[in-house]
Amino acid sequence: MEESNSNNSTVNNVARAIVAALDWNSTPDARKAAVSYLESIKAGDIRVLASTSFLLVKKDWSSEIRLHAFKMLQHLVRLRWEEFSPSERRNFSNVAVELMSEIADPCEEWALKSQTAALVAEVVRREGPNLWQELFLSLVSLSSKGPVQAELVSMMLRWLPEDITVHNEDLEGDRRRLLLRGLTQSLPEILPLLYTLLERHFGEALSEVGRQHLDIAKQHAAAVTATLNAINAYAEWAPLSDLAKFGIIHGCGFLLSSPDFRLHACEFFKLVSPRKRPADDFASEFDSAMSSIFQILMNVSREFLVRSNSAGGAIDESDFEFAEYVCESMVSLGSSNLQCILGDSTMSSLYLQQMLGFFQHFKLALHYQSLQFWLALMRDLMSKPKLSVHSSGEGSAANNADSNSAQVDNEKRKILNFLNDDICSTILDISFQRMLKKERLITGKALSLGALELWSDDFEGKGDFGQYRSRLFELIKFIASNKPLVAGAKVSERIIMIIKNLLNSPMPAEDLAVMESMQVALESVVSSIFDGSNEFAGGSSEVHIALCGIFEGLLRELLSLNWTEPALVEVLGHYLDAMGPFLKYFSDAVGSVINKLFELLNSLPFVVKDPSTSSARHARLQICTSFIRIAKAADKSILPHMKGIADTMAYLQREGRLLRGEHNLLGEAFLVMASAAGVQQQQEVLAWLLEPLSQQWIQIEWQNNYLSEPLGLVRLCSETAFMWSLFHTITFFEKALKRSGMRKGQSNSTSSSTPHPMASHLSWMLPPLLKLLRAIHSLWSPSVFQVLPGEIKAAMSMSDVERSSLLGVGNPKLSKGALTFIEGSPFDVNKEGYTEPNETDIRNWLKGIRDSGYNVLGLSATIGDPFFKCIDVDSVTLALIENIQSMEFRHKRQLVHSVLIPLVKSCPPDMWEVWLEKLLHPLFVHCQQALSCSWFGLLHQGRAKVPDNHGILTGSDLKVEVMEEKLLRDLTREICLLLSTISSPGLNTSLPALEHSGHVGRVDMSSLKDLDAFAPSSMVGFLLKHKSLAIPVLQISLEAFTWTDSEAVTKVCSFSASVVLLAILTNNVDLREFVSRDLFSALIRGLALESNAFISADLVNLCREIFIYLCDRDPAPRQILLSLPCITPNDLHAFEEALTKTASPKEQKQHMRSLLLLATGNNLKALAAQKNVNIITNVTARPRGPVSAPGNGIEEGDSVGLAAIL
Amino acid sequence: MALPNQQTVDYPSFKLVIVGDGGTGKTTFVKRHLTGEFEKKYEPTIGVEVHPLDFFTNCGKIRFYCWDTAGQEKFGGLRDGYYIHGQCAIIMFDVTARLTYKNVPTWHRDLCRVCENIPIVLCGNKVDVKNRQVKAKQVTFHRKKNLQYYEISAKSNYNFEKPFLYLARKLAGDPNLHFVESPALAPPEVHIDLAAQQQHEAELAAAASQPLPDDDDDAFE
Repeated sequence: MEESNSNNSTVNNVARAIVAALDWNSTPDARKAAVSYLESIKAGDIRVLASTSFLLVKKDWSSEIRLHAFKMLQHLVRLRWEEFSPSERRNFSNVAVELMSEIADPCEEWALKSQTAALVAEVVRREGPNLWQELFLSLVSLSSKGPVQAELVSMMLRWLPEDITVHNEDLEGDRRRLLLRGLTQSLPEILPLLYTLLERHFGEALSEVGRQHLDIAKQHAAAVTATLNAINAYAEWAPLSDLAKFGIIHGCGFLLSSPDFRLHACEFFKLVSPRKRPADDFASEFDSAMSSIFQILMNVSREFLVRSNSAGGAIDESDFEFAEYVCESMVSLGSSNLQCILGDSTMSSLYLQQMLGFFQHFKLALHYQSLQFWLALMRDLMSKPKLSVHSSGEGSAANNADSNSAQVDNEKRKILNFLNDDICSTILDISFQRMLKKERLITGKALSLGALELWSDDFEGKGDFGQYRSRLFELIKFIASNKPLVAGAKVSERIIMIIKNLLNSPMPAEDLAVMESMQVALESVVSSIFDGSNEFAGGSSEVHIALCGIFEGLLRELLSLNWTEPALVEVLGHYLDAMGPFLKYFSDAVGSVINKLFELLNSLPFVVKDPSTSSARHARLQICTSFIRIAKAADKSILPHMKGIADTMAYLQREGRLLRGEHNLLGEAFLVMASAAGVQQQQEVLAWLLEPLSQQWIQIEWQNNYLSEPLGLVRLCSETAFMWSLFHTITFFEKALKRSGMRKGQSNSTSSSTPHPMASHLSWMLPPLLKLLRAIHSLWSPSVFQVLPGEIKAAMSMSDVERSSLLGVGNPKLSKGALTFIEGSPFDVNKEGYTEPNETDIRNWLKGIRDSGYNVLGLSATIGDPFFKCIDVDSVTLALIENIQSMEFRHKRQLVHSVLIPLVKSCPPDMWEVWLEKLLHPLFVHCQQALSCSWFGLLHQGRAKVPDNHGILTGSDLKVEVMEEKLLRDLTREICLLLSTISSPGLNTSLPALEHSGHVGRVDMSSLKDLDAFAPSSMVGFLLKHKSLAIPVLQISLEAFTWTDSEAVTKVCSFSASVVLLAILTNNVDLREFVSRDLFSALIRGLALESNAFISADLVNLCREIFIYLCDRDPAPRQILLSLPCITPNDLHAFEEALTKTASPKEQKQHMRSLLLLATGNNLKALAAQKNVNIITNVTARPRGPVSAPGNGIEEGDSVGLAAIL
Repeated sequence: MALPNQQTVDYPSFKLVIVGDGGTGKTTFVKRHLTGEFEKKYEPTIGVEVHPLDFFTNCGKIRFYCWDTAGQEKFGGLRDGYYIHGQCAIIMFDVTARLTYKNVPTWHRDLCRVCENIPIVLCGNKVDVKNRQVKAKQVTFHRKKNLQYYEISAKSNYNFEKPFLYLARKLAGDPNLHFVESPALAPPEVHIDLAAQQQHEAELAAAASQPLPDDDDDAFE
């Protein structure tokens, strides 16, 4: 290439510019000037660019300059290659290849060698297979010249496939395929070359080390590593048979024994192990290749396991790292390709032994990897074989399916045979021991855990302990249902041992952690043996008798314990309730278990003043919940004992030895038992339990006294005993409603004829509750709030718990008791009849009444007719909606969630007229305004203004911003959920689905109906018919598309779909105009937000429906499309043309999508985000979209909103 | 490239390159260490800024020279130049913008073609934001490439130290190395949703046990 003066000065200028741009000390202006100069060179004369860059890659320049010159050359090849003439391209290629030999110098930097290889790869990628064929021979000869040359060639052989198989976004489909085919066809040349390089340079490296030529040895080693890296670029896609045939598997296997290369070599096995067996003729070659991979990895595993079992000291951290790699590959092999070795029983059983070895290994990382395998294996083995189609009787397909499934069954049976009792016992032993995490062990020496590295919170990347433990449980369950006797014996043996240890321990509380950890294991074993089907696992009667013996023995041990320490009592209670499923089959033992539970309950003090008894209080409540669990699990076995339980309860209550919270729990257990006994019994039990409550509840005095005026409630809040008594009454209503639903199976036959057992109680339960809720809601209205005493005001603000859950911090203050006692409510543990209530008590009480009260209403509504016909809608509206204006967001959300959604779902169509408008109209009007205002604040001022009283005074705090955003999103999602509930199919039975083959304007105009025709059996139709409801709802649905909340949009989308459908099917002009104009443009606006990417397909589909079905009835859809910034009438015409040619909704959607992208100049981020535009290398000059500001999650972008579009 | 005006130190120091799309929070992340302040405003980095960050380990003090590079294409074009002689790297993406995750493989490729076999941490930033777009279980890239992955929140300091600790251990070749005193971070202004975060981490662990998808793109189509 010719060099002139001007050329020389360009070279110098470019070099200087690179230095200036890269120097982080340059001033921004200097840097900008340098960058724009470099850009001008990149975009300028291509020959100057080429010659300048080729000069700058020479050795005389600094690494930074040379590197950038390589980047400019790559840029040229990728983006401007076509500007060269064919002969220039050839010259360029030759120069690039020559560069490879020039740079093959031991002193060169790795980065520059790599970029040279990348340049040649880029050229090949542009020129295609022809050049590649030519080039390959020269590469082979270059590679034979020495280790550095071999390294370079390997680099090139690595970058090329990567840029064709992975980083190929810039290639058109055809070109991509052409290149891939070319590459695949040259595998028979590439792979042998790689093998040769591997073998040659590994050998050379060893002998040079032997000769103490360490520098040269390093060069060979670098060649080996580069070759391994290149091989890994083929491991995921080259046919396995080729990898086997050309020695690659063997070569990498060999290097597993070399400490320097084993990690890279193992990378290869990690990539090939999960490869899936091809369905073609190569399946058998695949199997044999896989089998050799098994062999290789098993040899390495055996060596490791033997070494690590014999001498612990000889193994260092890097050995463990390697073993982790190996184990990971072994797991993939076993999980994806076990079938390849099933024919060889020695190998199969050896493989399982090794996986067991990893499972038993003291290193958590290895155990954890292997757990994945065992779980996958057991899941697969225990999954029910798919039923093959027999009905048609004939046909080869059915036969094929049969023989296939027979083969699968056969394989499963083989594996099951390998899973002998020993393997299962070992898995159980290890699982039981590992159910404890390090942090729980106080002394660290409880029981003989040996050297097991227990789970610790310090371990990274393994999720949390709870999740790990639940995997262990799953494994335990699988084994228990497969080998019930082994599991039964193991679990009971271990528990008895733990108990013995505890009894002999000087500090039993120390060993409590171990005892607690085993309880869930017991539960897993018992429930999988005795639960599920009617016949418990095992089959034969000998097995049944043996199992019975085991668990009777264990139960005897448990019953004989005389523990009184609250923590121990609690754990014992849990052990007893874990035996519930066993009691279902062996009912003889039920009586003694019940007696034991009462005995435990009575052994604990119920005195309440002393805080030191709070652990006893907690344990008492836990024992009561054990009754519930046993009632559920033991089913009918417990029925004969109901009378006895009732008598004991009554006795304890009379004696004053049963607190309200405890009584509620036992009552709940009773309801569970009754539901097993049938409706009759259920009703009697309800009457028995509710009757005492009603006596106080329906008294008019307390209602007049406390609920008739706002300050009455203030008085109530000072009557501690009475206010908590009300609370317990309401929570019991809630339990009664929850527990007296029909059991599955009963409901079908009886629901129509027999009234719900709670139906007759609603009329006395609900009116006082509504009054109470109304009074509570009124506290927030400004006029009342003003005159409240400070303590009540303070109690109305958020609690710490709520604040931290909004902020997302875990809640340190929540005690263990509060966490486990969710069934009742967290705070009644310490509240019953004692000191003056303080701010916290009042706050808890308000929250408790609201939580339970809302649930009582929601659950009552689900009963249906009795609720809607007996209860006066005005009193409900007054109680719930009267003060909606002053309600906080979190309370509105809760109200919608717990009351309104169930109510809307259950309201019978003939009651819609009476109920829905009154309740929903004020709600929708208010929420529309509130949401609209808050979202405006969030999106445009960075802060959602919400009315919630969070009790934080400093207003600009980031904390407040985060809480407010969360509150806003929560309420938004809930309101949108209400809309999607309204549009659910069950409430819209008269809405048909649109035909799936839509031609433009397909709906016959004469078939259009009046909206009234749909209103009686479509709730959306009903809503639209009532303008007062329709206006705020439709407004919400429009705005929601621009709120950056994908969850809310998903919900609103299903509602809008029904609205579109009704617009298409009816002759309602207002509705048609709304959908054609407002909704259509809102949908397009929605597509401009990246947050809507998940739902973009649905949005596009709605646009399609609107255009196809309404464009002939309304001009708006066309007008709106034409108003988009980058559309021409021709584009629209072509689009409509295309629509007439297809009836496939999928293709129509595709057309719609393309048109929208075109019409907006690619500015619809919800669609763009899915596109594969992602070239970030220096080689592109394409500008990328603006990036949103961090923090508030809105896309400010530059004006892609509808403002810009429309 | 020399570091003018940068006093050399007598304890081990490493060049750390931080890359990732623009707006993913790279600058905020490194500045967190220096000032402890969370920058609410967004100003794209021009070219590169280098921040020396010191950490105290049980084996003594170490320093990372953090090369905070421009993520914006319009200021880039030279970015590979900053990678040269990099000894370790952080690739950052933003869990609230999926495109930034889709671009991770390209960042990784460019790094790997300049820096030979260096330890790399992948960081999903902004996990405090409530409208997450990249779910923890969709993040699988690191498993294919043996990178370490952390979910972080520069805004709340969540996991701030983790990437540095991982890199320090790798560079020192000592898996038991630990930091002995916390760097001077300001108290976080935002507490991230630990419960939700635990859920993400759980998903992550669950995802770790799943076979890798054939193509990362699947999750998004």
